[in-house]
Amino acid sequence: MARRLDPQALAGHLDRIYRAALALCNSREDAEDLVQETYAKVLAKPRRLKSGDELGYLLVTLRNTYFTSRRTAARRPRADVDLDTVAAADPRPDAQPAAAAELDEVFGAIAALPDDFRLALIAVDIVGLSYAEAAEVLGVPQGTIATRVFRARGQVARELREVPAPQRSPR
Amino acid sequence: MTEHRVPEEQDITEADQELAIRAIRATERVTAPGSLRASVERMAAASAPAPRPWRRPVVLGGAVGALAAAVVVLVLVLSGSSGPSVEQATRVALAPPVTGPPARRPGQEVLSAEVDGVAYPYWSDSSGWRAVGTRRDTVGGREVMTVVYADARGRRIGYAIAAGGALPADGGRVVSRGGRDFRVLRVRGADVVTWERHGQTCILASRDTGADVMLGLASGGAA
Repeated sequence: MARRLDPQALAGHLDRIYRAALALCNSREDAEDLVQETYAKVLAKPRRLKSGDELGYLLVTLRNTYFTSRRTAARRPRADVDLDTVAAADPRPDAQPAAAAELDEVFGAIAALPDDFRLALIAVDIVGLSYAEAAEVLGVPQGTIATRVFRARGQVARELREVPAPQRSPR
Repeated sequence: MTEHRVPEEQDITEADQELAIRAIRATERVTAPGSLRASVERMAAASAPAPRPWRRPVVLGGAVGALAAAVVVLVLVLSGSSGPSVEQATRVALAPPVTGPPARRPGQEVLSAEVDGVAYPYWSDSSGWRAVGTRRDTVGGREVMTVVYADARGRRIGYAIAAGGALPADGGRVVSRGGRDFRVLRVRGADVVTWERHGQTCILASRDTGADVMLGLASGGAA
């Protein structure tokens, strides 16, 4: 039975969707833009939910918006930017630089995964979907999700082990 | 950003899994910036349908006015004397959530929210009830945190922990499930199930979901 998407429930998932966006983009500015665009799309008009819930709907929209933006950006001419300006515009809300750097390492490791593995890991470990829910949202068998999450965690662990502590710094 | 080859399953150790899960769990403290939150909340408010005019609920015989949908679990810390009554706590826990839900702890059957060491259960896999929001209230001088769950049909579950002090549970009937005793009550039109967990009192209440469903949730592994 279809039901209307609940705008307040959508807003209640903001933090998880923001973390998912960070894991996709590995950039706070890009993640904010992506989340903003995702919510703008979903909330632009009343929508009916045939299966799943608001969180799954948001994740699918986030994924689609991300890949559309990536394709668009790949076609766009690149402009030179002042790196100092970019760095200054990326304030770290975390009061502890070391902790912020470690979180950046985690998001960076996830963002470096191949798309299929990254999406599975984000759906299960960042967003908190079950394997069954992630399988439905991503349109692949549940066993595939389980394998991808397992292997993605393995790669994330390798990435984190390979980063020497003195070199860890936020992007 | 360099994309790496993902290792095969046989090359991944349990320690790899634990390291990754621990690291990913640490990201749960990352929250959306205030400006983004304000923007999303504005969009959500603008998108919300106009509230329906309030109408007095029509009670049809034994239909119990079961139009409102909410299941509430309250966990109340056992201790001293004073504190909210079961009725007060039920009223608070039936209220809608005001903030987002806690995430699942990776690899665990609990959410990343707890009060006094009692974690809220992750029910999505086992029963389809997903955490959809949270609220905090002060009742009888004690803080009560509620995590609200919902199923695919839109029915709701709230799980709360009141710090400090026991709520005496009496009345109703006692039902045994899995070697534990649960008390089934009716409070202000809601079905209520109370039980003890790790020395704490739990209360489950619903207006649209039967006590049997609540008992199933309450007697589940993580509950």
